[in-house]
Amino acid sequence: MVIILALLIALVIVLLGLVIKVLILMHHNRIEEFSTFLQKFVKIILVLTIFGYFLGQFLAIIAYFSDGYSALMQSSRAVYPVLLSLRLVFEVSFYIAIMLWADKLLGNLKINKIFHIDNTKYTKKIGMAFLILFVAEVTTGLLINIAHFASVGGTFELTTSPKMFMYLIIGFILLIVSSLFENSIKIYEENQLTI
Amino acid sequence: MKWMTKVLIVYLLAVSTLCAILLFSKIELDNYSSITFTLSPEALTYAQDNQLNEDYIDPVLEFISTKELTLLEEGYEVLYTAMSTNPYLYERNWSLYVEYSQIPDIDLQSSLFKDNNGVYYILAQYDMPLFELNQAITGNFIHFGFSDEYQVSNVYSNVYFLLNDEYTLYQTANSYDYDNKLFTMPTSIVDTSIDIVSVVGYVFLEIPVGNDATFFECSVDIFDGTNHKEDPGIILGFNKIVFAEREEYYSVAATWIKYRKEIS
Repeated sequence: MVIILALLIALVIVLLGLVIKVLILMHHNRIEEFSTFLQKFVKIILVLTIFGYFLGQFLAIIAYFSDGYSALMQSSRAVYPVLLSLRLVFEVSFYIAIMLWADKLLGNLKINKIFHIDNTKYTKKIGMAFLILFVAEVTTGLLINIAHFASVGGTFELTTSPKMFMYLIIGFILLIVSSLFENSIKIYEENQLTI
Repeated sequence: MKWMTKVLIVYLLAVSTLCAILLFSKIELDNYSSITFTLSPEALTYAQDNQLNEDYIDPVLEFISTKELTLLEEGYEVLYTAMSTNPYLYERNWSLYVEYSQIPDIDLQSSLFKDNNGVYYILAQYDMPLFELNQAITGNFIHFGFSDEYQVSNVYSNVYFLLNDEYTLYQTANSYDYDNKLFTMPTSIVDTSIDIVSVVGYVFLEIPVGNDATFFECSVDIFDGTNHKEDPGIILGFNKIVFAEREEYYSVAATWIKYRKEIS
């Protein structure tokens, strides 16, 4: 317990340090350094996500088979782990895609390729991915709750999670940014053509 | 962007299919509940899986099954049966839940009966290895706690111990602490010379009209005489019990508890 607590505290300190560094870089308008730094960060997160996913799945499978499920429970409950695993695979796939696009976007910024149509595409893709995650989250939760209510009974509960709203807000913001980017590029290209 | 939409559609189709399977599993549960009272096959499987002595297990199951059948013969109607061998929240119709923190394996079978007078009777049996109990218990053994909303007017209990393959009625007690809402079974029960100890018991409650309680909770703690043993954290709860018949007494709830102890 103490080790977990210490690790969590260390993680919080590291994250705070990262935020402070990003803020300093932004404040001094050092775009290249900022992009390089964030790109490294994205890559680390990407590796951790993939590693965490496989580790989580491995542990879940071990727990599932070592839990002494009876035949009855397996028949009715086996659906839940499959359902949850499916959702996890879907989410992780999109997280990986998002991070790969973010990596490319930051790569462009690093080489000072700012007003480029590719950046618009990446931003739009990331925004769309977040909105799709939102739709998947809402629909999955609803379907599971309906199925659970119909088969198990009890009270119908519809729960919301902050993650869901985070997806929605980030998705919309990125689509807006993408649109702004697109218009900026048009203006930039027009300026370039002006003698 | 199109591929993302396609992936989403495929994903949602898969989720819908799994949810449909989940709905279908209801039928299996219903079919299953009709046979639990006579055979308790899962409990037997559990015992065999855990290499427990069948000579010991059989009489336990027989004893419990006999009690269940007696209830049926006496005109009790089975309303609901739930079985769980896992520490998960398991709910169905009556929002039964089981929680525990210390004991990794528990086999719970719980049934809700209703007699001809509309009195409810909850029968639950635990099949739980008490591996932490490796010494004689000389003090209080079990207590049952009820939610504060309850004003229990009367509590009866019968506790049977399986000693040398014979059930012995240990106590018919009415030792409910009305102030603290605790029912305690004082014990000095365990003979360390025997290998396995089993306790089968039930609690019988009468809850007077006037309480709008919707919650019944039975928790089991273990004492070793002077100190509170590590709490096995077992809670059997029936949430939102619907008391359809509002007669003189709301309901009668009974809990069967079977302990198994393997002394090292």
